[in-house]
Amino acid sequence: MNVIKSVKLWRTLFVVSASFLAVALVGGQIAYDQSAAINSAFNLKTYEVIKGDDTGEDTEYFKREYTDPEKLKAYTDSVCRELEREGMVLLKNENAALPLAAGNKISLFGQGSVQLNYGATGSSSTDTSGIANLKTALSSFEVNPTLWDFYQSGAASGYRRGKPGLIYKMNEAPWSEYGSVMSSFSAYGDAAIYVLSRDSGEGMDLSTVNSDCEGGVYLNLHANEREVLKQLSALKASGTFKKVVLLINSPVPVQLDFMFDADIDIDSALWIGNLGSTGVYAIDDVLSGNVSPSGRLSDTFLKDNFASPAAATWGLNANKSFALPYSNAGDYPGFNNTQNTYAVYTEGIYVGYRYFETRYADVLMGSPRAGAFDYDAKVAYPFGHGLSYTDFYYSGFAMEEKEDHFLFTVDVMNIGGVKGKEAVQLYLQKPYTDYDREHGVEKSAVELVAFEKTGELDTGDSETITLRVEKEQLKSYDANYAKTYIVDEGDYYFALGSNAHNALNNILDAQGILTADFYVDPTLVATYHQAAFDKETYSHSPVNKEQAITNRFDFSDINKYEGRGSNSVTYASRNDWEGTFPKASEILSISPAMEKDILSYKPLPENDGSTMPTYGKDNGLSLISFRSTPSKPVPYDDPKWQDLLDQMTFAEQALLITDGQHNTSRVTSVNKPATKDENGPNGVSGSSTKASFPSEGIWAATFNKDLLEEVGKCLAEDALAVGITGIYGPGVNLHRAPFGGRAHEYFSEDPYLMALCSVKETIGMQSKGVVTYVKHFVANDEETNRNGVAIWLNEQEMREIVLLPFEYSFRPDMGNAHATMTSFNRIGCLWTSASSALMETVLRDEWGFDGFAITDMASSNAKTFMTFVDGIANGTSLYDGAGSEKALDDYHNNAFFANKMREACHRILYVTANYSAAMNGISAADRIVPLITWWEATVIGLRIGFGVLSGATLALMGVAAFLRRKEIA
Amino acid sequence: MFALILKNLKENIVSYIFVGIGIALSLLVCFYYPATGVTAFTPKINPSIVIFSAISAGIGIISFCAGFKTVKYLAFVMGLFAFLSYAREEVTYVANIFTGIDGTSFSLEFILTFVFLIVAMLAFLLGGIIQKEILFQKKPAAKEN
Repeated sequence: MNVIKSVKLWRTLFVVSASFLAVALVGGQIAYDQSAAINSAFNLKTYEVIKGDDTGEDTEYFKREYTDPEKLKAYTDSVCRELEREGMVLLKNENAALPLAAGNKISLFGQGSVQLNYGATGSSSTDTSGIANLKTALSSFEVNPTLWDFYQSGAASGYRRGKPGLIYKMNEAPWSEYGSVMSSFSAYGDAAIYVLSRDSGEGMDLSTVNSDCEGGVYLNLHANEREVLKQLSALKASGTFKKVVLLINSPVPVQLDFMFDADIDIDSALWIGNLGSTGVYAIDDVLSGNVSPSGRLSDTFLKDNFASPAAATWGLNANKSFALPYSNAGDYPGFNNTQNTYAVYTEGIYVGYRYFETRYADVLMGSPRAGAFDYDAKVAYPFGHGLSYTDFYYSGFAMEEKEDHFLFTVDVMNIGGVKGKEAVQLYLQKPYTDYDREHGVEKSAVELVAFEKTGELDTGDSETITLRVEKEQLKSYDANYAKTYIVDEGDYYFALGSNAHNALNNILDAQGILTADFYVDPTLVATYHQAAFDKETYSHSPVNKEQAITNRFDFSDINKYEGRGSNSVTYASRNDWEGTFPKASEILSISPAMEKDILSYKPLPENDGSTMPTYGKDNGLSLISFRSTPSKPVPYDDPKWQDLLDQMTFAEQALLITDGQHNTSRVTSVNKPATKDENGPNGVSGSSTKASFPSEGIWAATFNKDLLEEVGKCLAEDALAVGITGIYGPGVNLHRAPFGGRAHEYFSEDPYLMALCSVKETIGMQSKGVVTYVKHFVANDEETNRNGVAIWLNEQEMREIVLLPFEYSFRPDMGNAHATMTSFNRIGCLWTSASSALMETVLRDEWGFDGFAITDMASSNAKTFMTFVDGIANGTSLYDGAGSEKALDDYHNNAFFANKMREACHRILYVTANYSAAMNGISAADRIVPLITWWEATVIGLRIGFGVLSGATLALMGVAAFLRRKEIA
Repeated sequence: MFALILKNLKENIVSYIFVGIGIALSLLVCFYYPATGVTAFTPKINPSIVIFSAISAGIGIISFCAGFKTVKYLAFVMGLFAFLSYAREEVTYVANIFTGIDGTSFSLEFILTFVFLIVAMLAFLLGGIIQKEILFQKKPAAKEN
């Protein structure tokens, strides 16, 4: 009885339960807001398939080959190892220092030896625990244990690289620390192997200032690294070590000026990139000679990493940053850092070797205003360079012209002492004509247009290699006069070469220009004469002849953008290297028109004539019935799709579009299962095998298309094993400069090599029902300031360099990738996903892309510049964030937007039905029904429980108060 | 009745100082949040935050007349709703700071709003805890002459 009268008790219980009720109500809502993230993190299933009558059809639309976990693990391990074997590049091998003899006693130097770079951070991060260390992997040799312990747990163990204060630092041990271990060197003196490691990661570029490496630049040597290399060279001279070998364990090009210094004597150098989960074993394969290296550089390795126009601009900017704030950003206090920064791609088409080789040629040809340029002072190892333990001889080079392509054949013979593979590279030189000079069309002196890799050839064996070059590869984009693709009149030179520089020299020799004593082979050159200037053949889409190709990106070229105000920039031109090579930062200011264009939440068209779609109609259709088969094709534009889309409610459409964080949500009205999509380019997040692959530069360096297709299949098998049916990759952004923080996810500085890598990986992956999200569309070539930074670039670079890998990836006649991930940045003033020119005109109309486009991670930016209204209205289909059924309610009555939503859903449904293994096991008779997840049930339970408790305790408190009052009275 | 209210105030002066702080801060939030709450990450003001803060302050004012602990606790619960609503509104902003690596950090406006809401809520709670419940005190027995 006293308990009932205790006001204190009931009041306390009421306050506590009401507080918990508040937490359950609002906290639960936060959980619902983030449901996609929670479900993805806990790997929760949000639906179940209710089986209908057995239709007798085979519903395993995509087959898995590796259902046994052990076999899958062995498969992923072998593919990773093979990738590294074929991708690592032998840069230098003086006096055949490599391979080492089995049983050699070796000393491993550098903190990288015990802290190898296997992977990176961000979307390509993978579980690297349990990966073998270098000492274990080098089983063919005896590793100096004293020195190993010195780095692992001794005096050098306190020196570790890292990113303190968001600055990449090396913190390498000084030579003075080595005193206690020097006595061990002579017993392990067959080779001193120095491991030079560098990290990278998502979210910021590699430090170009304030690092502890020389000049504050992370990709330069640390002073202690230089000192150790000098001391090793001295120890080699004194006979303590027989050889000095360098392993460059970095996904991006370290500046290699030191390799040419007189006091550093390195016999052999291998670029090994990031190693992935089993790549470390490939080092043993190559050092021991079990495998002859056959990788070829996918980037130019430089003696001066700021020597290219792109990197020079970077170096000239304040803080050596790729992006700058607009000069008058202070006048726009309402603008935040997603609106007030920009970067100019001053290089035009001259990215990587395109600059170095073209300027080299121009200097050699005596072109006016080529300026002072010393190729050898800038380039350490050219694009395509790579040595082998054997030698190959090319003969019988021939060209055959077909209607729309050329076929080249060459016999490749192994004339060396060991078996090996050869990467055959074919380059093209287009004529640089008066028309080009007059109209600002740029031409690289040489560009890669085809490559193939031989099989493993024994000594004396030969193989005939056929290379195919499409005639469309002769085109160039003229943004200023013809405003479409042109093919210039003149001679087109095709040349084989051991690298880009060698191929160019072969061409220059054939042209009678080369007079110096170079090793060239004029028999490896073929020419094609274009009789007349042609601006018609490639002026329309190759997949849609109705679609004209013309300037679409004047808005991203500040020199052409209508609202540029007083802004203008200078792009590099071979017509005037002296006058156009960057000499100062390109300073831009926000004009009145730019201020408007930068703003998000652009108004939607009202009353544009479109009618509101139908919602929630019961047509009895199921998504699986829309899966095309040869006998029953259901193309994207089949009118039946509209009947299916009529079944979706507005809320379902809103949820499907906005709730795309690592999934596409289930849609019960059309029986669409959820798909599970994951990072990333270098390995599947959450992989059961923990498989990860080397940095993508190593993939490209294999020059092996079949292997890249196998990697795609391998990633798909690994993904399917954990229920993942979409991968956010491959990454095909450019290695514009060496400092891009996410270059480990991208293939190369060369758009063609990158394009072919992406095409092959995509074909492999999608053959298994795993959809590739080729990313980041487009111009997300840097990381710092990536959120909303404005990229200004001209249309020739946009089409020929930046877009080409995407074009090849998406075109139905090439990679036919069915999804893309857009980028955080803007092109010009517009967020990429909010540009209909990019997302609709070029992507869909010109290239025939039949898939859907997801944004990059939108959870933190969806309310700033990655807005639903701007993206969906311009062709974006899906948001990589946590959405809801109510997320698009503000636009419920706008017919234009409602139809854009419907189209976005159509894209997602089309891809899921036709290309996703998520449809496996679902027949037309089955139904998808939603499941309540455990956390949703918990939230409901807590809300009800605390609601009831609050009400009850409040009532009891009232009763108690009444009784007490009565008692007192 | 008026005497009872005065007595209540007199005997609970510390409690009402806390309540006063809670009211002041809740009212401050009603003006400060709408003035500073629109940011790059939050394009719209969440009216729930203002409404719950206003209710919280209103209940706090009522507590001056109604000397029940429960009234102050109700003010606390409303303050809790306001605080949680703010947390919900800013969750992407907070997530961005911890995951974005893009240089965004906590703004002064965010920190102040956060502090105002949490201090107001706790002030009401403390005010309630230390309140002496004079309403349920037994009347002293009448002195016999």
